[in-house]
Amino acid sequence: MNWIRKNIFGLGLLAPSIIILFVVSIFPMIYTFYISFFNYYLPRPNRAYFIGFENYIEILKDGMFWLAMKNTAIFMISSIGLQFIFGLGLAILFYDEFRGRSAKAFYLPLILLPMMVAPVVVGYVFRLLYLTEWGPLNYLLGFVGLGPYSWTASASTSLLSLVIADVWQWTPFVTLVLLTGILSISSELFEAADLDGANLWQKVRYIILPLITRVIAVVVLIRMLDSLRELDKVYILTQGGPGTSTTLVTFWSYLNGFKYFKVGYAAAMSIILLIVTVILATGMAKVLHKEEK
Amino acid sequence: MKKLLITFLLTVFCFAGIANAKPEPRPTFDGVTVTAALHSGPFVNAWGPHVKRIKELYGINLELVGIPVNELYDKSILELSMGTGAYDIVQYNPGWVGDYIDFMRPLDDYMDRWDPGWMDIHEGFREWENTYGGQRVSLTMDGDVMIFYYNKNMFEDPKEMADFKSTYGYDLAPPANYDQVLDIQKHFQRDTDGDGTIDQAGYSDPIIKRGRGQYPYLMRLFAYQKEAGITPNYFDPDTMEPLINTPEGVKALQNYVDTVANGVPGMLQWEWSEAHTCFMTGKCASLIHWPDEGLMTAAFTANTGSAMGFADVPSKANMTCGGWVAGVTADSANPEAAYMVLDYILGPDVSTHVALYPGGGTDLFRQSHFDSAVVKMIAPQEYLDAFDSAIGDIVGELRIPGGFEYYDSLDIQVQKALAGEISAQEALDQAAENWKKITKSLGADKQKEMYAKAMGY
Amino acid sequence: MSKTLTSYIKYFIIFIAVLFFLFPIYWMFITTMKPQLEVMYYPPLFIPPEFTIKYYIEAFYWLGGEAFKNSLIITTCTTIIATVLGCMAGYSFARYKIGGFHLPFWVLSIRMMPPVAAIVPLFILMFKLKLIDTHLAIIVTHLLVTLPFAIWMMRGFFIDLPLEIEEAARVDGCSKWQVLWRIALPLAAPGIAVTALFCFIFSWNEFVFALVLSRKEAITLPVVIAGTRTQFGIHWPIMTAMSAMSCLPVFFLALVAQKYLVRGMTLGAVK
Repeated sequence: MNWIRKNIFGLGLLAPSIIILFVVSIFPMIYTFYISFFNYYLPRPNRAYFIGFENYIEILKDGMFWLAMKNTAIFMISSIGLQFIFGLGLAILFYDEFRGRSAKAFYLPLILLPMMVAPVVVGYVFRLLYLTEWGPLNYLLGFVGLGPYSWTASASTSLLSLVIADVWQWTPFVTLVLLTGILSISSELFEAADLDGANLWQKVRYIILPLITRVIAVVVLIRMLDSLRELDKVYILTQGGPGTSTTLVTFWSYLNGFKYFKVGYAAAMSIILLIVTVILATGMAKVLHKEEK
Repeated sequence: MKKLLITFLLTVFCFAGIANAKPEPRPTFDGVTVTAALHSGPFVNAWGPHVKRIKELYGINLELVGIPVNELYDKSILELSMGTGAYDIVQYNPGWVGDYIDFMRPLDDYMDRWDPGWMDIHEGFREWENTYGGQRVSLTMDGDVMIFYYNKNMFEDPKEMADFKSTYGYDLAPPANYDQVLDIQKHFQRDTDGDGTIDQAGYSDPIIKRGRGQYPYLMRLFAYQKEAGITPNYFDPDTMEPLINTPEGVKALQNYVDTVANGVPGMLQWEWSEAHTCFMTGKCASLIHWPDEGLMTAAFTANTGSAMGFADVPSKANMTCGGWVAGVTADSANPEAAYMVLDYILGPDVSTHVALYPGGGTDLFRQSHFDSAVVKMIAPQEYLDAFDSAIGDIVGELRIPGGFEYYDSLDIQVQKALAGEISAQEALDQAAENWKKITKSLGADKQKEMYAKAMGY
Repeated sequence: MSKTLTSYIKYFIIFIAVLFFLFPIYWMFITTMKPQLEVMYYPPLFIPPEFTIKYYIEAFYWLGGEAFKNSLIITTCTTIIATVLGCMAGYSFARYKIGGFHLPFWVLSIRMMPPVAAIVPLFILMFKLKLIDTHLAIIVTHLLVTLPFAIWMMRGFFIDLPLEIEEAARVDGCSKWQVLWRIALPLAAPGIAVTALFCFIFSWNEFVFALVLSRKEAITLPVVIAGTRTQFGIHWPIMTAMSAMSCLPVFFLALVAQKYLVRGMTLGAVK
């Protein structure tokens, strides 16, 4: 009681958000969990019947699910890896520009534009860029003697096409967050390093990387959660094809739940996905939590 | 100039139609609102001009809700299965009817009282699109069927004909079967300007891209089944065993895989507009497509200097490959008013105007369309004959519950084979396995009963 | 290596990066001026064949202004609610440590829910509440994603604010409310701008929920853009013109918030 009285102000501030989130999220959560134990084909709503763990067993036995998981893992690791490498590189390039004269560089807002474009639009515009015969990308690559590649029309390059679109859209975000991390490092450290004659690589290795671990963890966590939810771009760019080469697990569950309307099956898949996500996120959160202490 | 004139005439004609159509004695429904869920874009645009006239004639407020075509199925099913009563009229693919049927109102009693020009609708569409299990449930909105188009300059060039004959040992002509399609494709596909990239395609299928890739396969399946003397079928109607991985099926998929593999690069992502553009600009010698191109012969000749040729699809195994119908929902509060709207817009008088609406996306589907003076003016008789004959060859879509999932799971495996990930046999075995799973999960006996209904056994 | 050479190399790399990030956007803008057939033309045209706004007019005719208005209403409400509540809850988490680390983490985990899982149940919920095809339904579902994000962001920004200033104000007799209103919020202004911008971007661009929960009255821009794809494929000039129109407000906001963007990020990043 005493604790409540002491924290009444904080509780008051918190209450509206918690109530909204609770009300809006609790019903879908419980419903999803409940329906995951049913065979429920939506166009036949009266014929839903309880089947226990059968949906879960079916999913784990289904080769398509594991393939989708594999695709998701490849997509996630390669796109986050590339975003991190490019993002860090750009952030280091930019930090010199920002020391002393903050945010004056005109090009910073320019490189932020990709993340503001709707994913639906990104999907469509990249389809234009990837056109095999008429697209500008193959045309430009032709000048350096490469290609023509079939991009989204070939199973060997379609996942790469998806990764490129994702890298294009989200590298700016990674750059921005890493840049702020670097900027928050006390400039005296850099000055001291300059005096000692340290080169760029040494500065990165011994000052920047150790001091922004936390920021790196945050940005990787956020990107990881987002790529596990990646749907719009796949949906528009490749529809999971050719073959099954770009069928990510969210797209697969979207197909099952919202196109085939096997609501129970898709719900079970969502629960499995949620468990995977929470395990991954908890791992990352441990890093954050430790840093915060 | 001729093109301009035709466009002008068409425009005048379409808008004149709004005022000229004569109503039959029909009840009025003052102040009643009817909501129609339509494919956004073409269909909403084509219906739009008639909203005012419907209000004048019947007192009905017609609301048009446009839904993106890729989401039409999911959004409608979600609303219908929850019984929201949001839509009085829904537009759907005949292939989805197995899932829609429980939510649609049979229209027999209305049609008996107010004839929508039923007998005027082409028999193939009446049978395979509008009737289900002996009941009349919908009216055709768009007469889809497949036609083999070819570039006459290329096909009738004496040198090409001689070359073809000497290489393949038979006369160059529209293909009689799918094996010949491969020859034609190989013959015409080439690098015309010698810069090292192939810039002329010999042949293209309709949509190959993931999402609709099952259709070219199914048409081939039925073609090979016909050649082997088997009645075209998806399942054995007695046992509900899938027939897709039979020897005919494997031959069909192998042919499809070869066509795509030999085709121009990038073909795996082609949709309607890519194939259309390729053919219309003279970069594609032949094409199997929906009937739209036949109404654009003027543009084709202007672009290519050639006449457009028309023929039956190989082995005369045709499908609607989509197509659109509209019906009245069972939970509609005003089914009679909704029916009046369908009867008005899709009836013989007005539908001719709707069908010719520029960019409206509707193909001819009534006898009166074929006989219409405007159609005769813009479309060659050869096209109308090919179209008419094609409708007679329709094999019905897979009109059973889960139709969408059967198609899509087949498409996934077909795409895997097209992408070269697995062989045709492996793909089809897997697809058949998945089909059996779907059948089992929806109830094997029920599915068998519905299949018999759908195929008219 | 001389200093000028290094900086030339540096600017060259920056130039390439800017080119890479802007090219697809440039391509979107020039496609709005190419007739449909020109899109499939070899070699691709890097400069539009003519400068025309014809397709913008057609696109606007298709949009009818309605979707624009809906998107604006939904996005503005979502942004304001998420930012205001996010500030309150974020401050509470940062200063009062309610629920320790676990409650904030639960809040973040709501954002992890696969969207597919939520579609059917949210549709049922909104249908029972008779909210389908209303702005409110879409705003509420957008809050499901933006609010956790806003809380998590603002929590980070407030943690980074020096505690001493607030304590001094308390000693001077300010109430808790005044400390929040007069001291903490102004100090966190750049962070608030960034948070609001991200909420705006998300809500403005969201597709799946808006598609499912709208019919005609509450239809939003991304749904209309997706609707330009017909059975014939995509009408490229109209689609890109519509996309360009949908991008402009966000680009404009980003330019306005530009000054805050970097400062906001430096304040605490996304913690």
